[in-house]
Amino acid sequence: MNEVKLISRCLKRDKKAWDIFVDKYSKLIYWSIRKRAAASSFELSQDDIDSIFQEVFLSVLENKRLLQLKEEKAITSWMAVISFNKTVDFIRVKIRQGQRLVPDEMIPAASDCRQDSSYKELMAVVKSALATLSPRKRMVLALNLLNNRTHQEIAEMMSISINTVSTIISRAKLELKQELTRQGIKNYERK
Amino acid sequence: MNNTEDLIKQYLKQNLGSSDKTPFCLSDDILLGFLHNDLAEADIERAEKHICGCGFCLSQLNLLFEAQKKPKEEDTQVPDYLIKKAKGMVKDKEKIKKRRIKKVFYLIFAILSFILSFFIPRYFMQFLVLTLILGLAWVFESEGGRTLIMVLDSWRRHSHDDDDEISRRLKDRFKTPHK
Repeated sequence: MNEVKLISRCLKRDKKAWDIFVDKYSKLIYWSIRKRAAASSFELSQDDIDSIFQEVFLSVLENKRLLQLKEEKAITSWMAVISFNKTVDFIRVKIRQGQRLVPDEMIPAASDCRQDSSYKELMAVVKSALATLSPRKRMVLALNLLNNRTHQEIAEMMSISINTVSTIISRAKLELKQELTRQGIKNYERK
Repeated sequence: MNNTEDLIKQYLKQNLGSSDKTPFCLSDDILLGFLHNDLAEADIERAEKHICGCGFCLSQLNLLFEAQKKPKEEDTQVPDYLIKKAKGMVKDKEKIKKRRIKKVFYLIFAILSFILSFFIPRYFMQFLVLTLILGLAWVFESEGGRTLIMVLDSWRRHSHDDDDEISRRLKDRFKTPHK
């Protein structure tokens, strides 16, 4: 049974088709919920995950959007999107109820940042150097340095060649180095 | 990682590391279109301009990219009870149909049995008992009957410590004041 037919039968409340659909997408949905929560720095309890999980499947039954999709890849992506959105909505409600985000060691809190003027100056230079780059280049840098994406992955995500990605990254670093030097910051040391 | 990379990373973490969704964030259609290379050139540029400065959309794009690959097995052990519950959202139509037929059967024969009890006085009591049995079967087949059983069961299990106090208060409420 192809995906479109499967979805169509699910929306007609065909039990067999629904069971196949649940078996096929439950792992993706479960993974998506946990990943989205982790990316939002929020800790979900098992009950929370269970609730969101059920809501995702419920929204599939109530929303005919999936019928408009023709390819399996598109359906997979859309299922992930629904899971992410339901998780984000759930987290928002929890935050409003007073639940806090998990402190993320990766993100330096404002109070942890060195507040001395030299560091601020340094960040300002980095900011101005990055501002000279095009949005595409900045996006490539962010994907590589912040999200640890390989050149191959970035090329796939942005539909550009690997060579372009490599060139962008190396040039951006070089430009930044030159900008730092121009601003008189020659020997930046990690403390 | 060298110092330059470290600097850029620190800056990016501070500005894009964690971000909530805003009203300006890209729609799901645009993000998916970007990922699948389905957008017009102008839309791609607009999307890149937004994503490079939005932590939420950047993380969303990353997650969507990862979701397209098969999630790793160790990350995705879905509890069986969850899958069972999800499957239970769609009821078996055949079973529902059979249940409905059964309900109608009980009701019709209960009524028939009641009518027959008047036409065949010799078996009046037998037909009445049969009516009662079929009537009860009809009640318990319905959703209302099951709810009633659940409520009674729950009441039976709860603590009866306050029952005397509740009954005393009810009696006091209905007592007429003496003149």
